[in-house]
Amino acid sequence: MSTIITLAALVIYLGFYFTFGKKLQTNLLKSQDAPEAPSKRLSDGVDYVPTSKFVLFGHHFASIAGAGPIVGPAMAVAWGWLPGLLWIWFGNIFIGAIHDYLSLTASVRYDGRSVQFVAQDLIGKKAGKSFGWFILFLCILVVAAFGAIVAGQFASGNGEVASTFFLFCAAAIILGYLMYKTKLGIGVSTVIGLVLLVAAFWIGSKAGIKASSNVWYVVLFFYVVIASSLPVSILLQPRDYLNSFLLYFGLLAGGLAALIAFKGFDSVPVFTSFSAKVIGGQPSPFWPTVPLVIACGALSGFHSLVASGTSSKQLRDEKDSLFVGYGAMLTEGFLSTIVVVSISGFGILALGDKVMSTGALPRFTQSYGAMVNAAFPFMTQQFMALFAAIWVSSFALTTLDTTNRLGRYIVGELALPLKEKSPGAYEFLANKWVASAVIAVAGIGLAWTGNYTVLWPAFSGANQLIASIVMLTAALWVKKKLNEKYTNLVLYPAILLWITVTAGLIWYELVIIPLHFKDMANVKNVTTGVVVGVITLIMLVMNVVMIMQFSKNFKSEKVV
Amino acid sequence: MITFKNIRRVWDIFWETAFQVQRDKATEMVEFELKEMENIFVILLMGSFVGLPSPPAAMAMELIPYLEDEIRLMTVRADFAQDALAGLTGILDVD
Amino acid sequence: MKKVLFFMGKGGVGKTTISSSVAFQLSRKGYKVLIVSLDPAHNLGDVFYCHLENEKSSLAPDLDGIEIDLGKWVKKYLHDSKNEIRDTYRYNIGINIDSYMSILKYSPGTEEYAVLWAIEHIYETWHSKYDYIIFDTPPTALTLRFLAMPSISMMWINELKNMRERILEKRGTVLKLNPDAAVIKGASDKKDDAVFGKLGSIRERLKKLHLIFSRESYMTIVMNHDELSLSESSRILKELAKLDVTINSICLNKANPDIKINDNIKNKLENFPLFPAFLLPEGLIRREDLGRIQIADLVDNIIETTRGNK
Repeated sequence: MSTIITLAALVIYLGFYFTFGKKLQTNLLKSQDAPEAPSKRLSDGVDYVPTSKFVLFGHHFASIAGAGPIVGPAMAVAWGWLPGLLWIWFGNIFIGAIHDYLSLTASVRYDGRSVQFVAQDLIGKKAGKSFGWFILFLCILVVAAFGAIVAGQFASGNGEVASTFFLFCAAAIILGYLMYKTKLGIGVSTVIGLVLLVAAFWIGSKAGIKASSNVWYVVLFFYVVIASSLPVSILLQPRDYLNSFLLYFGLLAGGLAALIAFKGFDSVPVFTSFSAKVIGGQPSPFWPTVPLVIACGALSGFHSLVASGTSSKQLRDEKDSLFVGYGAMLTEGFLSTIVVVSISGFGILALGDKVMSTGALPRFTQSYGAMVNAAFPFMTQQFMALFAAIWVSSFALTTLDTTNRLGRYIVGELALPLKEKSPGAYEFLANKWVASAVIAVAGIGLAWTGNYTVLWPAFSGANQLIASIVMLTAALWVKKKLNEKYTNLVLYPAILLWITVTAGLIWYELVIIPLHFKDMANVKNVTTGVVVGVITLIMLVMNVVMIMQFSKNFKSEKVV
Repeated sequence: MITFKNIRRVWDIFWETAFQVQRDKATEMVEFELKEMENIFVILLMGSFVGLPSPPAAMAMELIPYLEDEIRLMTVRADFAQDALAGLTGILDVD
Repeated sequence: MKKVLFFMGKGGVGKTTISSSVAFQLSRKGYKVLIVSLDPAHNLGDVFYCHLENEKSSLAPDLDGIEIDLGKWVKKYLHDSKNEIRDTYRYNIGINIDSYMSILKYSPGTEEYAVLWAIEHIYETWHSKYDYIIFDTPPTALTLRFLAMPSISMMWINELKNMRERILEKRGTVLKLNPDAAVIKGASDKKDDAVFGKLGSIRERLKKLHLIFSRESYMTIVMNHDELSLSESSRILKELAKLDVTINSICLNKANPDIKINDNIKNKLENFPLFPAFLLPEGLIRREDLGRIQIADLVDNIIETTRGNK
């Protein structure tokens, strides 16, 4: 069964790539007749640099694939393996990949300007502004969700994950020193770095650091503040580099194992219930809450920013955007498929009858260990489970670092209107340390007070709302600037997405948030409820404003 | 035709690509940092042209001939600064 | 050994008269002297009753003089820079560079720089041929600015140099790891980087000028017997102390032998040798009158300070 599903995923993704994707390229975008790509037209050797599509694909994929496409699907198996898998396949193909592809191509046609700029141009100033706010909320919520998940992971077992992670960071720092400060070439330093990486795993698996999750929250708080204030070449860059090796190895080992393991899906039912207990332990209707659980892997608004921020300036030819934008997203879907396969097929080997009651991340890491071990017996289950845990934790913790950096910029940017009215407040918010602390305190604070099953959907919600603006922008773009005939191809998924996410968030606001106020004496719960509730509410309001603006522009015949 | 030579070529291209991806992966943020530094350097030097204090324009003039690339970078960055969110997200791997 | 003399002070106190007579009397003692007027309102020629061009001309035996045309130095300076740009961008000659350059003429700081490079030029050209080079300075504000320029700019240059060094290092790192990186592919070695080299040479020139001002010069403030001139002199002293430039003496010009020197002046300037220069009752009429101004003490002090025991 595992083999069939994995093969099916490959066939479906490749099939749609060559039929649907190619059709989009030739009929909708008409990339064959497109003007010369900005990378060549505006070539400056600095930002606009023509780059091979294979290099760009690798780069783009490594940028969009992180912990996101793993955690979501692992949570979603609570509905049974099929519903989640269908969303990962068809949500990806008809919404997520189109979203990435069109945002990349639109950016190319806009001379490499970002999707935020395009949205501002087509929908209006408000769309551009709301990008900033969504990103700010997203930064806080992603720190919260990943913080909660990682702290839980660190506190589990004998703390091997924690010790391995910190050794891994040490390896990254040494590698960084070797690469950036000594005369060693990239090859030699990489080999040394990988040896250190293996050593980190070996030592880490023997000697754990045992501490409660409360301790880890404190550590994570300081980690976020300190790591994000270091120069990039100390930790962030070399660890990101090492992370990419974890990703390739994890994907390769997992993909091969899933293909050759021949295992029935007996760990997870095909379908449990339409309202399985996923979000906050409450019965969550598959529709409309699935995008709040599976975000990256099926659809992620962040991708549009990555695509239009760097990739679009480097595409050698517009035709390459199919491979880079559409292709990379499908590959990420394949990664999510492996997650579902590993849990559905091998969860029982690793966790017995506790598959459904285990947390999402250990559910995946243990199953992954069992799966790789089943296919390649020389890789022990325990070791591969640790590997998977580090893989996810390291990506998650890198995100904690980077979102803090991004958040600092956003806080200053959003505070800009205050500059005239109250310079003092502006100076305060624009201060690097204040902005950093805002994100870290809010994020780690929420992680401490809340539960990841509550925080994760809020993060996904913010992410999906960005995706929703992008899809609406793409629909407008197709209608006004490309071929009106094909508008519905983008408009329907966009509207479907908008309705789904909005309904999902309203459900979340009505069902999940009030739970936190049952016992007003429980300060932690009340705090989570207030903060997440308010953030979600603001996002919903902005989202409604956005659709109104959109429909006004959509109806008007004015050519923008 | 699948020949040994073709396979060999694909194999070479694959590794070449993989290495280039990893090379980019190892330097993307440092590259970004470098560009910002060069930008600031030029802004510091050219400041007197746009009303920033110091150093005297006269001193900047002596360096202008050698800073062609940097000055171009400065103009590119000035453009980039208006639309930086996505670029920053692309460099910092969130997600 | 000091061989550069600066005379500074408020406009109208008689800097030109004093510096000219010092120059004249030194030349009479057998020293070869060059007197240079940096004051845009030149009156060196008036004092010597001859017409001084921007070129050096002989005023008396062993005494030559130049009036520096600052405007011309600014122009020369801009011209050199412009040519350098023109040569670099040979393929694209002359587009708007000239008009940008004329904007530069108004840019603050250009004048100070012109003075600096003029001083440098004169020092480099003539210091081996003369025993003394005497500078009659422009009004106080400009003088203080150009004297301060080397040390102020040097901090700047140092910081820029450090930053450039970090940039080159980073550039080298990125290109070592990733030769196709989308960054400026310029030099990454300090030796090959023209900008770094140029920064270094500017730094060396400024350092040398600073040394001339702080170590190789004999500085005299010329003042009159009044409060205004006293307060200006105090200001010069205060500013120069910050720059590590020492004042060697103070010359009280237009003093009246019959009036005792004001206590206030004595107290405020007690740390400096004070040399009165008395008014010539009949005024300055002939060139030889420069020899009659009674500043023998000052001249002796100069010789003693600059030549040691001679």
